[in-house]
Amino acid sequence: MSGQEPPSTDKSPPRPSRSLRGIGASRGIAAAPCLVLESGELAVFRMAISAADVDDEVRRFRSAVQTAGEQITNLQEMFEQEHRDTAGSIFDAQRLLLDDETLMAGAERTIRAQKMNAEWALRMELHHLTQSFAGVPERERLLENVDDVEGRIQKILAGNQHHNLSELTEDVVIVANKLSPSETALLRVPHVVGLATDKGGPSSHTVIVAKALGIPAVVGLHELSERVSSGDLIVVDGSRGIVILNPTQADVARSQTMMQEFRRGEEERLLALRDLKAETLDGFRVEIHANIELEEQLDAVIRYGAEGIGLYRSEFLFLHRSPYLPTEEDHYEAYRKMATALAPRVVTIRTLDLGGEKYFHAVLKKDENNPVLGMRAIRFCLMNKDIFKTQLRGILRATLHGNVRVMFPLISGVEEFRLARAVLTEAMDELESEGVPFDRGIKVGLMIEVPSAAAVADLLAREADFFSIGTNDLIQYTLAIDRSNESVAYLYRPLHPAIIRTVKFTVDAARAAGIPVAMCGEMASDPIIVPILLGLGLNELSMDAVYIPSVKAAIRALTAVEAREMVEEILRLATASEVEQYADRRILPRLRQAVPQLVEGSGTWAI
Amino acid sequence: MIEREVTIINRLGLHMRAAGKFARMAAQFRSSVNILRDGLAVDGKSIVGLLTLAAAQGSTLTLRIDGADEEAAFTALKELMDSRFGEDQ
Repeated sequence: MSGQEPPSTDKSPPRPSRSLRGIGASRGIAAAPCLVLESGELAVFRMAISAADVDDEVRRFRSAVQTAGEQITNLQEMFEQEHRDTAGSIFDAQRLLLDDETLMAGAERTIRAQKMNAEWALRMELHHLTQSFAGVPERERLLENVDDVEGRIQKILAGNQHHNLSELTEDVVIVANKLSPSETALLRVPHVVGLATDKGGPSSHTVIVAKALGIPAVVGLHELSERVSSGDLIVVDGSRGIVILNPTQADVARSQTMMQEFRRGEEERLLALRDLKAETLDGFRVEIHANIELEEQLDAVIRYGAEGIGLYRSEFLFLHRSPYLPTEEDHYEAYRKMATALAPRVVTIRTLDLGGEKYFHAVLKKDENNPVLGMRAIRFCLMNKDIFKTQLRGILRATLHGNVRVMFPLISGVEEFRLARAVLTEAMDELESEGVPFDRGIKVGLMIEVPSAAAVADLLAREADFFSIGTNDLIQYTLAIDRSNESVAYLYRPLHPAIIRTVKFTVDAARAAGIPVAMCGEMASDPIIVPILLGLGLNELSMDAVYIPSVKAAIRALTAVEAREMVEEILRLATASEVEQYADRRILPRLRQAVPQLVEGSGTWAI
Repeated sequence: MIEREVTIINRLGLHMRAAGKFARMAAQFRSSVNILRDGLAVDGKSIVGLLTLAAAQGSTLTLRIDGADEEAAFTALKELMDSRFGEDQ
């Protein structure tokens, strides 16, 4: 890794530090040497071989395929131990491809007939194969797997050992063009402290894993993987969506302090807040809830002191089973476990939010031009009432085991809310006539994340039991920003005055009607934004569990009166930049003592 | 040799996982298993072959099975398809 020293006569100045903006995909910061993973696209050349070498070439090919099979088996075992749910689906397809005699015999025939090298024969065979995949269900997933299998075999043929990250002994930041599913699985090892990729939006599979592991990630960095080499020091700031190349000593020192505080000292210190209420100095109470998607996260929910679950993303129940659908029992079991584990704390289940920029399942259509505005979430559920009702029945049955409430995603107005509610009533009537017990008093709410719903929040508040503001979609739809689009991601500004006003209108409507109003988007997890939310009058904030201590600390450092004064001043500001500067100048200093890991520019957090 | 028509009835058709199950089942028999559709014939023991059929729900395919255990192979494969490859719908 240590390169040759340049000739000492030419004392070139150190290369300037340079920061690249991408999309912040998982928060936190890390500074470490990078490890550049080669992309699957190895340069493959055609080479003629002599007739005498054909048998050897075929043997070389077959043995590479066998080695690839062994690697997959190992990976599968390694992964299964940690994550039994998804292992099968990721590796089964690759196994089947490697075992496919038509495919492998085809490549062998090509080697023999055309007297060419194994690498090229494999490339030709797979090229031919993928051409014929037009119209195959789940084509993209299949192609991803084909690429992954080819990359693996090509690497073995080239004599490259596949990276085995579990052998790492020092911290690294993984840099790659993009990561395949099996490479993503490999990230679950101790020394991977950060992730930066050229491609990918904030909701790719890679990002979901990075978030679950709590390591910072920045995606959409264009040609980063070509600009750095393994061993170069790099800073990944997932909170701000930037990567610093050739960082100065000060950059590194700062990020290391922040990283350490974030990871150890601060976390310990902030865990001490677990049993304290989130209450302002003048006694205004805010409930702090956690967002979760997997049962495994329940421990963290309790460990970080959440007072309930403000958002359970039920999509993962579906994704794990694609192309199958979860049964009523699957739903019931998952919800029952959560409700029981957390009782009497509240568990808010968001009904299926499939589609849009994230969360693909085989039941979705693949050919929508604009899926974010398409057949997703509640729209999909109302069109597929059988799928929807199965879930609702599971939720209703779980009401007997704890404090369960339900909310519908992506509601665009009163009519849609009524339609969704009608299906819930149908499910209730069915259960009742079947003699299945449940609690009819379940609280029914909705996500405010479509601007049209926010605009009629006063009308919705008459019919709903609670609101939960989903800022990720609300910002995307209000500002017309596709945040997975790297070119416009910079416009994604949570502190845009339009967002603050929309939230204000929604909160005012809810309070006038006397219903609770929560926020479960990522805005709610940013300590610098929290005082603004407090001042606006939100009752509940829900976030990934790791952010709870910082948010609690921020709330406990303030009075509700000063938060309201801040909001009054902010409402007079005209631009997102002005609000962000206000946050840096006025809010940050107030919180610095309580939440020392805060840095300027947090208001521009991309996610 | 037997040659009989079968219909794909599961909702998702012959997708990746269903094709995988079919190929694995077919490979358990000594007989050759070919699937014919619109003049195209693929090896029923090959997942990639099966996938290239792009057989959606309702497609009719011809199974051509040849060998000592052809009847048993047909029965097993037909059962697999009729059970919707173990899928709910």
